[in-house]
This record gives sequence, C-alpha cells and structure tokens, in this order.
Amino acid sequence: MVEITRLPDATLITVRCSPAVLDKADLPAGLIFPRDANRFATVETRRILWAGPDDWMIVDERDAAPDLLAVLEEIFATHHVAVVDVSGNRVRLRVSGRGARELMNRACALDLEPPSFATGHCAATFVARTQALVMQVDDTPCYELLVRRSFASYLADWLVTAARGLEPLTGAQPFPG
Amino acid sequence: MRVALGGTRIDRSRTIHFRFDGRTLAGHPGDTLASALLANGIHLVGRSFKYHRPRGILSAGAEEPNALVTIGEGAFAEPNSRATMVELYDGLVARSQNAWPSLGHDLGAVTGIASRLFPAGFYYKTFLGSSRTWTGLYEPLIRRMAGLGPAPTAADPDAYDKVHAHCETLVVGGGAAGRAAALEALGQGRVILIDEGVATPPLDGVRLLNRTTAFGCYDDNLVMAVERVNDHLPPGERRGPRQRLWQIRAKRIVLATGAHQQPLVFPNNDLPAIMIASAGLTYLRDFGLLVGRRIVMVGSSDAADELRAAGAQVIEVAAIAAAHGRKRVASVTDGQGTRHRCDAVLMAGGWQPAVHLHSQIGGRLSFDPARHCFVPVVDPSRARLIGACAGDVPVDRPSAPVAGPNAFVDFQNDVTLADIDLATREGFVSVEHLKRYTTTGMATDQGKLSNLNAITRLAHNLGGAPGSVGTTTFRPPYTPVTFGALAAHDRDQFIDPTRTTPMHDWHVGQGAVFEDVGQWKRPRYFPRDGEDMRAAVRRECRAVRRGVGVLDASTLGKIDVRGPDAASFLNLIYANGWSKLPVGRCRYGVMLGEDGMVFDDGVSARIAEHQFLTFTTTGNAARVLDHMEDYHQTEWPHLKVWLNSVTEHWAAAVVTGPLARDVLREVVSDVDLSAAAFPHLSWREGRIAGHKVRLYRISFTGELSFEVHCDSRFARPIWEALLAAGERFGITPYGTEAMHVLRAEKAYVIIGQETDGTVAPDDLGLSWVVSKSKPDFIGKRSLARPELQRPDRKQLVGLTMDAFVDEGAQLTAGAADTVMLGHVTSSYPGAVDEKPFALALVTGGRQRIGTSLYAHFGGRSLRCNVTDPVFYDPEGVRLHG
Repeated sequence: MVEITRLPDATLITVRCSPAVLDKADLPAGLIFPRDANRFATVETRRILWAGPDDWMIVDERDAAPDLLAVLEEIFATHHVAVVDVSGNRVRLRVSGRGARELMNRACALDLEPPSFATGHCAATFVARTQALVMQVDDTPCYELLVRRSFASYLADWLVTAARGLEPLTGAQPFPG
Repeated sequence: MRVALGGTRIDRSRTIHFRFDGRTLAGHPGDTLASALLANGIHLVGRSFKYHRPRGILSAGAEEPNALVTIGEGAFAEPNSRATMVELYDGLVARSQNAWPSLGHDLGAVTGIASRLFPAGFYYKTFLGSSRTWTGLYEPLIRRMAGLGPAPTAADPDAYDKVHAHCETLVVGGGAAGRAAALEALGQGRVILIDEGVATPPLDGVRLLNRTTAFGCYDDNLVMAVERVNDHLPPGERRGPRQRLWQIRAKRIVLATGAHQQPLVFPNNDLPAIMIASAGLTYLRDFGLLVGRRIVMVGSSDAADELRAAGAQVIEVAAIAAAHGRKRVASVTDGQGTRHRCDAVLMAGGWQPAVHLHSQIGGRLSFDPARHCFVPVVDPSRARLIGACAGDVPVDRPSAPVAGPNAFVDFQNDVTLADIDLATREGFVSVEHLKRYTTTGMATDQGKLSNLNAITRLAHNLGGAPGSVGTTTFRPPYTPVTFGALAAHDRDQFIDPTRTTPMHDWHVGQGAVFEDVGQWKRPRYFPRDGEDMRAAVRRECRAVRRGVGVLDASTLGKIDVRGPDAASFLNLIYANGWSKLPVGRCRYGVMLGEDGMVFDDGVSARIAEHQFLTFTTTGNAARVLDHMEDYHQTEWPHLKVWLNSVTEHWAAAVVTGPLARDVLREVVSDVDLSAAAFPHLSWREGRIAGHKVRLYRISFTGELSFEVHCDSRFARPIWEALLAAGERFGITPYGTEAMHVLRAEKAYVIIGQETDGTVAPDDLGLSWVVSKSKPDFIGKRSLARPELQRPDRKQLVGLTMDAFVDEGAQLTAGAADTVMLGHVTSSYPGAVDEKPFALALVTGGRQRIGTSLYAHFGGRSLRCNVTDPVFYDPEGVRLHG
C-alpha cells in the first residue's frame, strides 16, 4: 500500500554560490555540499541537495535556522554567496510503501529506476504538474518531495486519489529479471 | 459461417451472448465483435458517412474504416468503436451508427441516390449562400444526416490511468519480427514490447503490453500508447482503470508494425462482404469462419486453396469491372465482362507498410514501384524498422482502378474515384490540397486503406508516378484515443493545480467566496448572514475607510535580490532609481519591457546595504523572476547578484484603516509604531505571538496600512492573533473585490487591468516614477521614441456618471459617434458613498478632464464626466497618518 505522509515542517536554507567558492570556503564536517548534479548528502538530521549548478538546498529536520544561518553567513562572509532562509517556501511530503514508485511514475516523467534514479539521488522536476524537489531516501524505494507550500494540498490530494486507483492495479508489475 | 478448420483464437467449447441492434446473438470467447457478427452471417453493420450506403466489415484489424459501432450504453457508451478491434464478452451491447430509422431501412440512403449532388468540395460549393441558410438549413441537416456515433452527454464514469515508463529498447508490434527484436535486445537493458493483439505469449525478461496500441511517436523517442485494460471484460468483472495511457521514453525504438493490404477500386466496391483478402484468411485461421460460401478472389490467389479446403467455392478473376448487390454483394462482372454470382469478394490491392510512427517523427518515405507502396527510408538516427513495415511485404497483382458510379477510394469519408478526378480537373494537384478538398484520408481511420489509392490516382491523372506526388503528413494518433485516457488523473478538481495560502482553511471556515487569480484561490469577499456580494463588499470597504480591515496578501510575488550589485541590478531592471534608497525604506517601482510599456509594478524594500526584497504582482511573480534571471544571465552576467523566490516563504496580512495602528499596538512588540519613528514606505522588524515578523508601511487602499509579513509556517497563529487583537476595533477581513474598489479610488493601477502591454508609464500618470538621471534601464530607449511623446496617447482618467458602467465599455466624444476614444478599465460603486465611478484609458485623456464622453455597452449609451483619476484623498494625508 502506498502511503502519502505530510512530514513536519523543517528548516530550509537556499545557498547560492559558484562551486569554486565551496572549494575555498572552510566548511565544517557536518556541511557536505554534493558537487555531482542531482545528488544529496545526509548528515544526521540534515540533508544538502544539489538543486542547480549554483544552487543548494539545506533541509534540516531540527529547527536550526537562526544558528545555521549565522554559521553559513560567517563561513561565506568574504564570498559572493546568498544564504536565504526559505523554511516557509516548501512543504515536505513522503511517498512510501509498496507501489511508491508506481505512484511516482504516474506523477513524474523522470526515469525513477536505478541506475537512473536511486537512493541519494534528487531532482528538481514536476510532480503532477507541480514544481518539486524529489529525493529517493531509501531502497524500498521511499521518496521525499519538497513542494511549494501553496501547491501542497493540491499535490497531496492528487497523489492520494491516484494511489487509490492503483490498488486494484494489474498492469503495474515491476520489470521481470 | 463457422467451419471446422482454423479458429486458433476462439474457444469453441464455450458460447457467450451479445446484442447487436437489439438482437441477441451468440459467439465464442476469443471472438471480436466483427468475427462474431460474420459467424452469424451479418455483413451489414453500418451506414456510410455521407451517402448512407450500406457498409460491412472490410478488414480484420486496426485499419478498419467501415465497421464502426457504439459499444455500451448510457454514459458508458463508446461511439465509433471498430468492430474488428472490439473483443467479445458475455453481455456486450453494440449498436450500429448513422442509420435511421434502422440499419436495414435507412431513409438517409436517399442521399446515396443523389450522390452526384455531393461531389468533392461540396461544402465549399453548395453552401455559398447567406450565412442564415447555412446555420438554419444546411448545417442542422448535415449534422443529422452525416455523422459518426453520438458522444454520450453524461460525464464519463470510467476511471483512466496514465503512467510514464522508460526503457532502453521499445519494440512496437508483437509479430515474429517484433518478438525476435525484443529477444535480441535483452542484453541491452530494459525491453518493452507493445502489441495490439490479445494473445501474444509472454517473453522471458520482456515487459509485454498486450491490448496496447502505440498511437504516437514524438521527438526524443517518446512513444504514447493506450492499453485497453478492461474493455474486453464484462462490466461486472472490471477492476481498476478502463484504459491506461503509456508515455514511454526509450533509448531505442524498433518498429515492427506490419503492413496493411489495400482495397481495389471499382464500382460498388463498398458493398458488404467485399473484403480485404488477408482479412478473409484471418477470419478463417483465427476465428474458424468463412466470410462466404462462393468467394470471388481478385488481385491475389494466395489464400484460395486454404479457403477451398475449408469448404468455400473460390472463383479467381484478374480484375473486377463492377460489383452488384444491395445490402451484400451478389455478383461481380469481371474484366472480360463475365458475370459471376458470389456472396463474398476478397480483394488484394497490394500491401502498404504501416509507416505511421516512422513518419510522425519525420522519417522519410520512398515509392517502390515493384511492390507498389511507400517504403521507409532507413535513417539510423531514428527508429529502426523491421519486417513488413520496413517494406518486406508480399507482392499482389492489383488491377487498375475502374471508374464509374460508387467506386470508393476513402470508405469512411465517402470519397470516390470520381471525386479525385474532379479535384484534379479543378486544379488541386498537390496531395495536401487533394486531401483537404476531397477529405480523403481525413476520417478517423486516417486513410490507412485509402491514401495509397488516392495518391496513385492523383499521380495517374498528372501523368507521373506516386513517388512524385508524395504522401500527406502523418500525424498522431494512429488510431483514435478517448479523451478520458489522455486526461486520466487530471480531471475534476485536478484539471489544473490550485494554490492556496497558509490562511486558506481559515477563509473557508469564514465562508469566504473565492475567486481564481491565476492558479491561486483568493477570497473575493466574506459574506455574512446572507449578504450578497454587493452588500458584503460595501461593508468591507466601509470598514477599511472608517475602522480597520485585514487582507490576506500572501499571494504577492516576492524576490530576494542580494549581492554587492543588487542596487545596480535593480537600477537596470526598474524604470526608477534604487541607489539612494536607505536601508529600512521602501519604494514603489515600475518595470518596463524593452518596448517601454509597463510590464509589472510593486514595492521593493531595502533590507540591507546589499539586499532588497522586491514585490511583484500575484499573477506575474514567476514571469518577473524569469525576466530578471534572463537579463542577469544574458545581458549583465558581470553583476554580482543572486535572485531567489521567497514568495511562499513570506505570508502577508495587510492591516489597513484609520485604526490599523491601534490594532498592531495590541500584538506587535519590539517596534515603535508611531508615524514619526515608522513613516510611510518604510519597514521594521518586530514580533507577534513570539514569532519574528516584518512590518511594511505600504498602502494599496489609501489608508494607514501595515503589511505584516511572516514565515508561512507561523502564518495561521499570527493571522489569528491579528484578528483577536482587532476584535474590539471591529477588524473586518476583506477580499479582493473590496481591495479593487479601494485601490481604484486612489487610481492605483492593476497590471493587466489598466495595462495591456500598450501602456507606458506616462499614460498612467506615472512619469514621476521614471528616472531622468539613470544612464540605462530596460525600456529607456523606447520611451524616447516619438510615438511615446505624442500628446494624444491614451491616458488614465477618472469617470463619474449617474449609473453603473461596464468594464470594457467603449468611449466616444458624442453620443452618436463611432470613433472610439478609449475604454473603461475599472468600474465600481464608491467605497463609502456608493456613487458609480470608473477608470478609463482615453485618447489625450488629461486634456479632456472637465469634459464629457459617452460610454457604450450592452446597447446603451451613458454620459460620463472626465475627472482626475484619483478620487480619494488626493493629498495622501490618510496613508501618511
């Protein structure tokens, strides 16, 4: 059974900078900015997503904004970097359980099968015509979506309705072999 | 007539029942509706589109142009189903189409006798009369007489599924060639095999989609296919969606789509029981039935022995000069003039490879004179073609077309050889013109059994080869697709994404009436105790003018602009200057296009030396960010600035009215709210209910206003804290309608209402916004054009009148004038006095203040006085309060 869960709001921080700045900056061990496109790194409660060639999104499940913003501001003080609190911008949804990928294949045009998309991969894309950051967080597979707050109710309703239609499904067998 | 031979697809041990035009008939599991009808001796299954001629079953597959029936009843009815593709199930209900009062006695067939009155291009020729003759007489007549099955009027109760899939190899067609290709591709990743058929055996390791038709091939190897998941089952046994739309992205595409044997053209070639030769063989092999006892074969004798073995008498002729019969073929005259009695004709007109998908993605074709068909030109960058669709087809001996009455080329659209000849004589020598003029190949079958004959005839008339004529453009879909499958999940409330603010549930709880602003749902007004819109808006407006109101303004676009060059960047983006704006202050700005026309407007606040927050209109938020990114990346990449959307991070509540400050004093801490410490067009940071907020003194109502912005996560408690604090001041939530009235009284423009892409800042009285000192900004050069200096440009003015005027009403100088001087852009009853007023764009409008104009709308003319557009507090005393 697919489960669609709204996760508690998190601290979200956008970091915009050239990758060269990350090479020069003195980053602590807990701040891993993935350099490969469409990957995210996880350290404890914190994930950092590659969201574009000069765009990273920090997702921290703790209410970490004031401290983390200060830390980042200091690290990047001498560089041309934007550190923007966008915690209110997006809502987190989780799509998990048996059939999670089948449901996502209905909502999203990306190839979500490994090796094209696997645990640790993320993508900025459209999910049910709604802009979202999609992460695969484990191998079951389980997905987390960061969706613009105003679209969250619409998207959750869409996913729940489509998931209901999946239950008696006969044709969504996985690839054999 | 069933025979002992053949029948590989049917289960003869079981009998199931179905209804056709009210008659209960029997068939076997595995039958198609077509095979079951033929087994019952029924050849007449429909009436033709234009002439209502009796028509039968021409083919055994997807190419069928004739045997169109309606399957199912009521809202479930599916018109125009090809009987050859409908799998029989117990209880199936089918109806013939386009026949009245009945299939056997169709009164419309009289048009068949008068068919000389409906030649090619008859739409263009016959109905050149007054438009009333067309709409009053011809159109209803044609709609009733000539049509396909009626679409159900009720909403489709079926569910549909739509899914994306990806693979390394996609094979279309499950015949021998396709199956071999699928197995061959196994080592190279995921393989999907699509087959229209029902009984393709599974292949190990291959994802097989049965009952699936690939109907479209698009750029970058996207193939769209529709799977008939449940259509073959009795309604009581259906589970899940009726059909599923597959959107398959493949690294490689292999087409093994086969070929279609073509009909021959001779008079009365459309009589029921005249069929494609290979179809006759399919009905024997797959369904164990003979299509006739005495069969004439023409064009090929490949199947003659097999038919004889099954018990048929077979007469082979080299050509047919004409067929005879009424509701079924009864005899034919051969090329030598000899008449043969018969009850079926099997014709072999050559095989045309099914190159549709290849051609849809731009694959080229060349004409092969030996096989008399168009074959695909191999192009390694496109799909690979194998088997019959690559041109590996049998060779028939088709006889030349025979002219005469009712020699049909396009069976579904009733296009005859004479129509093609007439079109050529009238100068339609391009195949694309021929198609449009005669409608050949334009029916739901897309000319699978007519295009080759039409092209061949056109070429013959022009004295060339079919290759010199070429084909028309192949477009998806290959076969018709129901809208339900295309829409699938995106129906009802999901037809378009909807956006809601963090306060949405509160608005719903208050009974707000919403309006759509782009994808946003915004409260339009909050009716109380049975108020209508007018009463609610009047109450909301008065509350703002006399006390205090609160508006959810979360939908405003917000862009964080930061970096050492942030001010320089805004100087280029906006018409006004930003360098001297101090930290803590705000400024209204206007953004122009390169053409100098107003593109967007809004306030920007200087948050820090190198940081601005720019507000955009609700509808333009994404467009403005794209516009700014575009210019940054392409024109001024040297500027050190980052642009980030924070539209949804900040929720916003506007507290406005003479008592606004009193309300905020109750809930806001850490801010001196006095006018001296916190003047109009400045911003401060404070706290409400323990949460950080930003307060902006920005007024869109003309009253003392504070915009309270907060992290959207905490918007609901802050909104409620404002409402609670305002309760003793009578705080009144108001919607977009009151907002519009209040802003219009101040002549605050709305982008898209007062502007339409042809309005420059000065036209709106906003020349004060435009910087005279900046060296450059977007639109600066255009503002210097003579066109924008003209004194008679349309300018924003106010109008007062005795009665309400419609927005969009045209304005003239005299009551009887026809020269339009402008139009009404906004029109409302006054916020407090309810006197009608309006804003308008009028040629040389500012010179006309003090004169009168006439507004024309709904057949009425109304005298209007031209005034200054600012109706309320022109000195701006109140908003500075």
